[in-house]
Amino acid sequence: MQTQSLGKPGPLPKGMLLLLLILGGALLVASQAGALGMGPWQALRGQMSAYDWQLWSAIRLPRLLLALLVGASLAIAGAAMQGMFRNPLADPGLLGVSSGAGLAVALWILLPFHLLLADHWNWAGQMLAACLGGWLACWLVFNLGKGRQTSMLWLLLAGLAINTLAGAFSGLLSYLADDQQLRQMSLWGMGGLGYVQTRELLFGALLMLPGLLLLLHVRKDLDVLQLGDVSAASTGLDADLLKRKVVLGTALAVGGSVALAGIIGFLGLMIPHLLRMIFGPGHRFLLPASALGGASLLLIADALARTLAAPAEIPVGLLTSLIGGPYFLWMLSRGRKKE
Amino acid sequence: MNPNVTLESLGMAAKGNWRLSELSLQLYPGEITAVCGPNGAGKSTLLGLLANDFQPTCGEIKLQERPLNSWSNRELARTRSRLEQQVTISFDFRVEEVVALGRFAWQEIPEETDKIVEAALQAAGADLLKGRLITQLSGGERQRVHLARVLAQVWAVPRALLLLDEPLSAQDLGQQQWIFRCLRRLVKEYQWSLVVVLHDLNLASLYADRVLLLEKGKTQAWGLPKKVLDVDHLSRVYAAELDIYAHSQKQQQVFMIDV
Repeated sequence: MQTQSLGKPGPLPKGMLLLLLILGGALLVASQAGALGMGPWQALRGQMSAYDWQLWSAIRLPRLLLALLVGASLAIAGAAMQGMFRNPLADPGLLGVSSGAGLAVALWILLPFHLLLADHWNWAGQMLAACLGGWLACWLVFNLGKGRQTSMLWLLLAGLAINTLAGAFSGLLSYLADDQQLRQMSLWGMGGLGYVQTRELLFGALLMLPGLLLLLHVRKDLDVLQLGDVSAASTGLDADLLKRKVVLGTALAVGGSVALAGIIGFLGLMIPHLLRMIFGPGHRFLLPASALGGASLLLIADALARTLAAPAEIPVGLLTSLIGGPYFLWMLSRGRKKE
Repeated sequence: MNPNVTLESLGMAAKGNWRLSELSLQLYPGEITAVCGPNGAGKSTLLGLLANDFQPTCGEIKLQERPLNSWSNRELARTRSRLEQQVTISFDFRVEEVVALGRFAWQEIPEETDKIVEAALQAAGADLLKGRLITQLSGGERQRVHLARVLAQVWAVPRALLLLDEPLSAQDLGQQQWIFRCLRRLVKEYQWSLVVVLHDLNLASLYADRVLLLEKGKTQAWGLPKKVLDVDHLSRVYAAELDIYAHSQKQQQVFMIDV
């Protein structure tokens, strides 16, 4: 498929329409599936009571929107980080951005802010803390990797180091926590889309959407960055500014996701990798396509999480890791054959 | 005629060592300047200074009579392009997409991109590579694609400055000839100033209008190829025994190392 990165605008690739259709289908399925067993389909045919509809829009609707937002954020952030590190293995989870954000949230739960702040402010604080933690982790990997061509091995080791560090601190924090804090932490740590209400969702969107827009805004620049810092600069790109933008956008998108839904792994790795095979590596289409793909996958995974073991729920982070882990292994083995 | 690029007592020190010192010269439009010299002579430092990779410790560079520092990034990208020795792309971009990246500073006129990409690919002897993935090309093929990108960046810009760091190190004889003939035609047509780091003295002698011979950061000789590339200069600078021959048909001379 032809994707002239800096040529004429060109028509929207057909794959994009297909992705839109898939997203529509995923929304339809996810809006129906679950404990309630009904959705807009029944409502349209007048088979839903006012009470059921109220229940649906209070519980299911925010959950669908959350899946859309978090799925899109994680996948776009993954694609953008891979572009920035010029390496298809960069992923918010593997590089420790998610666990950095997670550590910040654990810290927030443990510190006595909730005594000082009203409930909703506490929530906002937790979210900002997550973004800050994500930004710090991202900034750390980025600065460690400055001035070198980051190899796969280097990236994975850097991520491993940050994940280990964040894990150790989180462990320390949970050791210090009292029972109620511990329950709060572990509930949040499992990752899931079921704990969020409209208010939190709106605040999260306020943080994450600017991050997403920022990443989408620089997507053409990411193509030029693939030439390396020196050649990109002589082509007219301000590479440092671009990287600062990507770090900020990723921190907002991933930090917000982690604060709202815990750590959901592999989405940012799998979706861009899969879509690159269809759209090519040009970020002009890859980033929006990743948003659509990530949202679809998380919607479907969440629908499965709700229905597979009904009435119980499987944490959705567990499900994405179950799909993502083998996919990652397959990527690694394919990468080796190519070399 | 006014010089296109002026270097005034340019010097560059790093960690207490002068990588390059007391370099003064003028580059005129429509000329190919070859930079020669042994390893560590300061060739890449000179190119780096011309490309703003780092600031000179002393002296000044003027491009079209304006100090290099007073140019904006964007203006520079439209007037000056440079080819690094090695560029590695890790994603599967197509050849023509890579060349189109060179048009980044020209995004307002995307309608010209396709035409220019085509012409640049041809000049770099890479038009047959169209449609292939950059990650699957050989080293020499990739080098030609990046050369095409660098040509596309300042295509048809009068008096542009092109900086090429060993652009032909991985090319076979036929490619070298084709590319240098094209470069010479383009340089005359658009009045470009082309600065090219060359290890092959024969290419420098045959195709360059001027040669700068560097040794340990200092100018050993500067001027017409015939004057600069003489056996005394060369055997001293390179610490090698050379034989020199007159070209059978041209004015230029060619070199061979002694056994």
